[in-house]
Amino acid sequence: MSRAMLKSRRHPVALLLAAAVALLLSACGGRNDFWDANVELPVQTLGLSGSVAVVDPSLDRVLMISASGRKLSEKALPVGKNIVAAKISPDKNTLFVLSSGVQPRKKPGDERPSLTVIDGGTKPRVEARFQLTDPLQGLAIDPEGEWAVVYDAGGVVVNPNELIFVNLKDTSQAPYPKTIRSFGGRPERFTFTRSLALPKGGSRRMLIVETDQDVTLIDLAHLDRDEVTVAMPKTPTGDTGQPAEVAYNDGDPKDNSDARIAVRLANDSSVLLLELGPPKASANQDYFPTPNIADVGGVPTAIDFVETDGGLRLAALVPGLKQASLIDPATTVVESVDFSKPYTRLTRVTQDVTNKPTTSDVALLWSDQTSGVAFWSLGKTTGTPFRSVDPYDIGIAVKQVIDVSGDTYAHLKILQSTSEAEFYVLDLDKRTTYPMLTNQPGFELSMSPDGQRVWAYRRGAKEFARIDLSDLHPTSLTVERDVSAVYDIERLDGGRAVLAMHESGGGMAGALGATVLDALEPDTADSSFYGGLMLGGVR
Amino acid sequence: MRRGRMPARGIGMLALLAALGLPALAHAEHPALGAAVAAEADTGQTPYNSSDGPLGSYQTHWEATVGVRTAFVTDAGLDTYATDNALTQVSLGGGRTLLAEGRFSLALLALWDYGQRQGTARGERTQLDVHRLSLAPEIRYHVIPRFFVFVRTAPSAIYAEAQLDEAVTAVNVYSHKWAAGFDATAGAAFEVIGKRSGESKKPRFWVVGDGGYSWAAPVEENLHPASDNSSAPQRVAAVPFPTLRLRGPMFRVSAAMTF
Repeated sequence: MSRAMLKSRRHPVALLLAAAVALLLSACGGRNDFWDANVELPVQTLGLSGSVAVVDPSLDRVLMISASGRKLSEKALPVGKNIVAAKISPDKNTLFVLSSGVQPRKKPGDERPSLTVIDGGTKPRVEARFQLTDPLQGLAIDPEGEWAVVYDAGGVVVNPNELIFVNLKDTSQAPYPKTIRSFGGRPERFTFTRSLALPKGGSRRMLIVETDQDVTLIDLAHLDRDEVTVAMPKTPTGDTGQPAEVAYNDGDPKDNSDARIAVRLANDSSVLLLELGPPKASANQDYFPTPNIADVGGVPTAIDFVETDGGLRLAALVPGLKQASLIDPATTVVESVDFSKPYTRLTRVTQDVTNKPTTSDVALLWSDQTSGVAFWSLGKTTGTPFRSVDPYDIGIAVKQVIDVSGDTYAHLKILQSTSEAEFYVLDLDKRTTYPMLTNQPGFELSMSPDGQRVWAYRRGAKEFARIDLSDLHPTSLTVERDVSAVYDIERLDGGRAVLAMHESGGGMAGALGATVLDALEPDTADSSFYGGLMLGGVR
Repeated sequence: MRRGRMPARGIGMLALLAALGLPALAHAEHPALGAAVAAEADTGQTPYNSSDGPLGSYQTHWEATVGVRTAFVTDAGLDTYATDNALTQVSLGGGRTLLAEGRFSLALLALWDYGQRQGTARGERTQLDVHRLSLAPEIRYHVIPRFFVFVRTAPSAIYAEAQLDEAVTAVNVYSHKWAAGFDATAGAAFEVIGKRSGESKKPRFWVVGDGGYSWAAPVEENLHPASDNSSAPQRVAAVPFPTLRLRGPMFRVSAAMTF
């Protein structure tokens, strides 16, 4: 038999074998990585104005959940690989997701670090994505929505003082890297100022960077110019002072050389004042910070600029002396006001009261060390300092003062207790407080973005409550699974929805669900339950 | 002995066979068939009853089968329940030869295939149960009495039950859906045990293999708790799973008994 004949006879067998191999290969086909991705616990959820963001690092995505009626819809938005941070803007309209990309990069196609900006409205979408040069870990968001600063490098050799500025208003601009000068510190806190009138070049915003031993001022209108770094004064023990808090003030609107920045030092009685006066001729900045130091007699725990009947002052609370010091920033002369209690924190509430004082500020004093709050009327300080403080004994030490967003109920403040078993609603206009008692400690509070309601819930409990700020009427609700968070969001069809999130873990697979109710008329008999939210976006 | 005759019914079957893509088989003339039948005739046995066809019980019989059917579903919908693409089912069937003419015959089989896959969806257990009920007309061509090839189309009703052990609701959620489908296959059967004589009514045992393509209409999977599950939350919204399309190449290996 010829070789050709043998070949032709083997041909069908070869075909059959090839078909069998093809079938076996198709049987071995793998599946979408989606199904094998674990759910990282705890699941990070963030409430935005019109949606709830669920960060899903295993799949390099953010699930955006929006509501229409009692129905929820999920939209999976891809973000950069390896999510390291996710933050929302103060107005809750925007979500920022920082990703480190593929590290170390081995191939040219390996993804670089990036910052993804997501619109958190009722129709969520990716607004912009900025490619970054370095895999940084920290993210600071400008409250006015103009800037994001990426910082905090990690790696074998890092430059901790490198900041990457992302212009959120102009997405065509590439992120701008800038290394700030340092005397050995690394950035820890960022303060974006409002517009400050400077001696040259008009008003502009500044970024104040606090490290563990100095403060750096960066002109946000001229990132290419040199920044100004101010080393902190030495403490009495000879150590370098450590910034603990900054405050700023534009001063007299007619004077462009009296903008000031104050720095409170940790464990030190000194307060550093920087006056942004005219620059030296050789400098390329439009200002020059002139430092002054004031001693307030004890370690202050909070500072802020306030308008008093005697003019602008820097107020510093000194709980060790049960007093506040009012520092004249022009002369650094210190005047003391005694309190009956050692208040540790102050919040200016001048703009939140209905009848706003025209010439002087009103501040709310509170403390996490002692019970009670006080109104400090700064129009009564000169000559009658003892009459300027109105204490209110509310029986709790205040852990946090929560602002009510919007204008309608801006005169209300939520005073969260350190014991977390009760909280108070403080009416600044009537100067009255309304206690809200919870049945167990450990409650958390969630303010609705429209400023109409407060939601109180405790992680791991089925009960939560709505407090309507119009009449302070609480409505208790019990859902069918334990609550991990509560978010009040705008609905696609108008109205508002409240989502009680349910997280499952502890031995079982990580999973997320939600009960959706009408936020305006919450009724558990008129709700829908959604499970399997982490499986969303695959269809 | 009717070897070589091609009556009208046979022509009709040939046309159908040709339409199903096996023209080469349809036109095949296998001398062994004639030889085998002739050899049996030479032994002096009684000629076959014409109603039994020329091959007697080799060709005209009742049939019961049991086997394994494996489909290779490359659709992403199966990923929810399995880490590979194979959907293997146990296959039971029964049927009867309806017509026989020369070496051709037409049989009708009823088949039930059942298979299950289990997997995980992001750590939560999933399960898919698939039942397939088919009515399968089959055209056969006996190359020799103990060996025939066939083509088969099997319109099917497919019942798919998807299940998820949902961790937040802490109950199982299900989807039960029917879908239409069909198998189009070609195969062969070889008798391994049986009397030599086509007149014998004793059972014969065959090994049968067929392969081809299986198609099913898409199934939208929306999983709910069982309506009588009192531990499930009220008004639970469906968990949407990817659309399931049970389509792909398949093969079936069966053992058949004819009688």
